[in-house]
Amino acid sequence: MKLFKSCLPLSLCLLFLTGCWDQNELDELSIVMGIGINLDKKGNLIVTYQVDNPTEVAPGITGAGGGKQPVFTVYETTGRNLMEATRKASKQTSRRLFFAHARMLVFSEKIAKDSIYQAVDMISRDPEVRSTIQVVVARDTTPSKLLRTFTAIDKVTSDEVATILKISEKNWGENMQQDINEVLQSIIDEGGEPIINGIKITGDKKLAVTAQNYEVGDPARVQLSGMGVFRDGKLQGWLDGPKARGVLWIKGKLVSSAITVPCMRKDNGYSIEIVRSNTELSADTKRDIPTITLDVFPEANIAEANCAVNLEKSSEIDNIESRLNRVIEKEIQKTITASQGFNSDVLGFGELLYRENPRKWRNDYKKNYKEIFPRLKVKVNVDSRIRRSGIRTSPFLFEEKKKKEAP
Amino acid sequence: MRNRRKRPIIRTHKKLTDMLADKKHDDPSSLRSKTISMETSKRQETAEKVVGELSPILHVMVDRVKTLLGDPMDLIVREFEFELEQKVTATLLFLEEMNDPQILNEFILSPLMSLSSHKQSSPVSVDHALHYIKQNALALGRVLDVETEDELVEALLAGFSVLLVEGNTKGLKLGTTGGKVRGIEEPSSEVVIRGPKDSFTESIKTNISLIRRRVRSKDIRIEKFKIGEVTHTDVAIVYLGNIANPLLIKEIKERIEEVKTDGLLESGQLEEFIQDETVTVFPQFLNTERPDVVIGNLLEGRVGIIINGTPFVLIAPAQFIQFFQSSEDYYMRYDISTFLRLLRFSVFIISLIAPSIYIALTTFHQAMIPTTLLFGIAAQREGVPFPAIAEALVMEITFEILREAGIRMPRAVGVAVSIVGALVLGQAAVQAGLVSPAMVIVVGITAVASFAIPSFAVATSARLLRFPLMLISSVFGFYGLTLALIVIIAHLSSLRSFGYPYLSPFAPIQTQDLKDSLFRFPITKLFKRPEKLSKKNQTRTQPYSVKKKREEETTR
Repeated sequence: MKLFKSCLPLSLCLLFLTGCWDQNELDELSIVMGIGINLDKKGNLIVTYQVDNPTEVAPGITGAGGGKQPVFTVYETTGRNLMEATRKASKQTSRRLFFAHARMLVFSEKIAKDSIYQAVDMISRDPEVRSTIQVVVARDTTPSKLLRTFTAIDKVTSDEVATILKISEKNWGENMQQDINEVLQSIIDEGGEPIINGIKITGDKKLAVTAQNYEVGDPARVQLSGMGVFRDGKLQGWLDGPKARGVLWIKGKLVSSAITVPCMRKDNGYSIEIVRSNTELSADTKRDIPTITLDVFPEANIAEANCAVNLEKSSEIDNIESRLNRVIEKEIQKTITASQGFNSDVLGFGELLYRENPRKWRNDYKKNYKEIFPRLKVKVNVDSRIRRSGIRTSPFLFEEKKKKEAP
Repeated sequence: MRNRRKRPIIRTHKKLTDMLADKKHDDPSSLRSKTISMETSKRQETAEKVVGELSPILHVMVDRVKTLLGDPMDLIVREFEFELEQKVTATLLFLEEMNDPQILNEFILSPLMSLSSHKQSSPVSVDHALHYIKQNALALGRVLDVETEDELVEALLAGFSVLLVEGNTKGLKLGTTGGKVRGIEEPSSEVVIRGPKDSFTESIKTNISLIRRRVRSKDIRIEKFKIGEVTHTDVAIVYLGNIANPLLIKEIKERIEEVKTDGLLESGQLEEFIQDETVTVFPQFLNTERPDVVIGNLLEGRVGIIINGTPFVLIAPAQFIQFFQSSEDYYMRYDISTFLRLLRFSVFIISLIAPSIYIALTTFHQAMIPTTLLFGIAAQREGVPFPAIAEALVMEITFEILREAGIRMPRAVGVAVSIVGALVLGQAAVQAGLVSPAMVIVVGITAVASFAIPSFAVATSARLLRFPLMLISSVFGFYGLTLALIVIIAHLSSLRSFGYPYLSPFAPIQTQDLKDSLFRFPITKLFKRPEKLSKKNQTRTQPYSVKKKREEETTR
């Protein structure tokens, strides 16, 4: 009892003297929104941090600072590796850099061509950085410029880019969200290689880094631009436009998009809105060069019909479906040829082969996959279904034609 | 220290179970021996009292009463004469304002004074005077003999009037109790929208009558005690003899009888005496000023304890979940009742941990705040000179001050205080940069939440626990908060109210009783009384089958 009584004040002291090692008041933190990584001439990393200024970002808050400040500031340091650079940044920052809310990790094309392997480990190891951080490659620009760009709507560039990715994946489908986890997973996958979104600055690039960018009607903008194909951590080239969409078709990640289908000798006759799509992959591993079969089942609506056809006839719908099938098939085939050209299996065929026949993969394919992949035969079957045609059936052009033909 | 604290709980719990076992096997002997010992002790007491016998000489007796009471100014000594065989002198003693003057005049003085020998068939001797007037003259329900001085004084102090007749060694105590009492009003602390609007008053008689009027059962038992060496406060326990567990009744009686103190002014004092555990912030009794709540609990096998002089009636044993139930739950539809119960429970949790969560989130777990919200909070925190814990403590204490001031101050200044309070708490503190607006919201939601809990008693425990939780979460974050909550739950499950587990029906789990806990099932589905409380007579509702019958009829 005596012991207990004498220990009580001591243990109470313990409560308040522990120092609270991970305690941080909010006003002692710099919230990092974006991390940019570049390579300098000596081979050191140039790391750029985009840190936001909460008093300017938060709506309707008149902070103690008051005056007009930029919504973010950028710190830049160099170091032999990421951790060194990060800690070096404290020479410039008055607060601890806090990474949990970082939304974008940008590689420069330079480091991407050199190797991204030198910079991903810390990002995935640090418990503070979330695994949902989006990875992009700055195309025709540097991360440091990209992170200095003022964007109009979402204020903080990194935030804007992450949101653009999300929206674009859902509505257009030429880019897909690739966070650090997915990038690492595709590296680890059998025979797999990562594919990373490209991003560029459009418009007046000198204006982009000044706050005046807010004030003009047509400011410089950040824009998604293709997807970069990697091999062994090195950027090989870019997939642009429909080729990039092919990746999403193959991976079954396409949610929605618009596809132009010709009609009556007009190339832009129909616009077909894809509403959902499903992709099934299978592989035939009997021979030395395996064959892969891709079955794509898109469901679609007619969004636009710019020619005089009678959509009330089901044969016409069948007709559109078969044309749509051909268009999609072509897109996919182009993507496959392109990635075979880069000799980089960003499509996950290696993993598919491994799952279909693990033994054969381990014994035969794995060793010389680099030779096998460019020669893979891929059969693409597209079976699309047109479900609806908006709130009218035949286009007005058809009604007009009917009127003319009738007496 | 921990062991010492734990022991009583275990003992009481054991006592009940032991007694149960006793009762099953060889109970008659043990119980009988106890009652015998009680009887002997009572006999001894009466033997002592015989010493102060009443004197037959009137003025001696009056003087004696005066000296005993210290000749108080409100003691009225009314001497008068009436006619029997001969003229007889009598004295009516009573304390003014404790008696109803109208009853005294109309039913005692005037019939006595108009007695005359003509009307009597045979002359009545003085010795038989008391008996005669008791039988013939006093038009009053409650007339009892007084034989000793002590009894006489006690009767006077209890608000009876005492009639002494020359030459008799007995007196009569007359139930003329009156005086002003507060009428039955709407309950002030437990307001309901639907449900009875009457509430208990300070008078134990009124309170008992309120209960009796609602339960016309021969099984209702009301047992009286007197507590307080000086105040002699009436205490009554009420229960339903055919439902309540006799061992529980025995335990309660024993605990009440053991209370030796000078005075008892409110049920809270009794509560502290007879509760199982002193070192806890949780109430172990339900208190209510609504008769329907008491009866609802009697029907479940609980016991009501009424104390004279307070409208708050205690109900024992109490379970934690009861403090989140309102009598209205049973009067409204079951769906909304269930919703409200869940709401109240979450409100309790909010008022307990809302500030702690704010502190833990903003100082340890910034990663858990949505990015946009984080910017908002961070922007507000910008320029606030204190750490989050200091900010929170300042605001919480300011609120507690305002609340206490709001209760104590005269009603006329109430508006002024609330204006100043709102300004200090909200506008000014934020503008001066002392606290952040988010903190004001947190304090606000905590305050409103604590008012939404139907029981004031359990709201105060949340209020008290809030501060240690805030300190812990400022030092250890969510980790500390979680540990503290585990400790609180462990403590709750160790509590007993008269041997009944505080957390029942959750721990130990009683599936049948869960129907009326956080949820309220439709009344037609609540067939059983709480399992452990009422060992006998478990069924309370028979299956209601009219609808089924009608359906069968139509299908036929």
